[in-house]
Amino acid sequence: MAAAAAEDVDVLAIAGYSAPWSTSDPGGDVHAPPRDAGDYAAYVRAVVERYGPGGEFWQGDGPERPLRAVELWNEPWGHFFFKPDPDPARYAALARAAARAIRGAADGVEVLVPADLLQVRTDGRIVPWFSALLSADRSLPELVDGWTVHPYPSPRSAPPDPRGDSQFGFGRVEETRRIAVAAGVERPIWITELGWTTATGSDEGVSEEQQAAYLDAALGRVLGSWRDFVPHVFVYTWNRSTGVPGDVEGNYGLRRADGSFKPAWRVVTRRAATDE
Amino acid sequence: MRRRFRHALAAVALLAVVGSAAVLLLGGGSPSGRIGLSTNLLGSGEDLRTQLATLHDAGIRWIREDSHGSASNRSAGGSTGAQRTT
Repeated sequence: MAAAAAEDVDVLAIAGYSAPWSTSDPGGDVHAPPRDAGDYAAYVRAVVERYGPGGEFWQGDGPERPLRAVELWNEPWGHFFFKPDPDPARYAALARAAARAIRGAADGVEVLVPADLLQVRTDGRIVPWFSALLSADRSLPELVDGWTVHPYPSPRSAPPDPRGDSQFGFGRVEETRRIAVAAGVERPIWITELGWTTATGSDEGVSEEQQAAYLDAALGRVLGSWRDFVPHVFVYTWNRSTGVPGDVEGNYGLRRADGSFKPAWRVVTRRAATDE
Repeated sequence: MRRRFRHALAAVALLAVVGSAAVLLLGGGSPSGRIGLSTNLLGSGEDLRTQLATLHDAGIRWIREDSHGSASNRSAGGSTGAQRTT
């Protein structure tokens, strides 16, 4: 946090996952909700009390740049991060406890809650996430400052404006917004992950040139027609790619394995430099 | 006199063009608070301050530090882009 503050960089905190001693997974996997939502709330409160506005971390010398936003869990709509399967009611209980803890710990910290359209379940059923979350706890939005989404297209190699089912394209951000508006819970939508993989040995990968072109188009939409309701977009990822052609997850990076920049880096920096 | 003025004007214009090009080439310029990056700075094995300085110089003002978002952690589930599973 100190190093980021020194470079005038804000850190969006992801509050996750469980601690090994608190997880509900019998095998101790932390990618499962804690047995007690209060444990998660205590953890989030401790983070905000230390790194948030007025937090003890900032009491010494040096530049101060306290947390301004906390995202409650990462991708709770997916079985891989919310084992054994996504559970909107259970997540809502976690989010409610944590949001109240943040409110009690500091002012000026935005509470962000994942609001992607669909769950990703082990049984493969296509089941709503966001609308189910809203149904599970109708007053949760009162504690929420912003919704977050990860609008990776499916298939992953699809361009940002694919024709066809909007549920599976980059454009589904608009569907999240439509649901929020219809429910009377419209909030800013943060795109906290977005990207294309250059795993050219896989059907899911695109070329480096396509990665750059797709990101350019997507960022153009975010900074253009979505400007009024998308305050932030986070490109996935600064991490170096593995360079292994078949490694889908390992080649989203804006940098190659040797640290050199892919063309998409130029797109990101140009967009960042010219956006006002 | 007029020629000297024209030369000066041309020099200023040239400097402006070169400067703008340099900004674009280096990825610098006025920072945008809207575009951030997902990072794993702490787990990358690279120097933390050097990475942050590079991001700062490129106009990046937000990061989402995701120490669990490494390729190895995601490979089993395929979380990214997996909104359609059938």
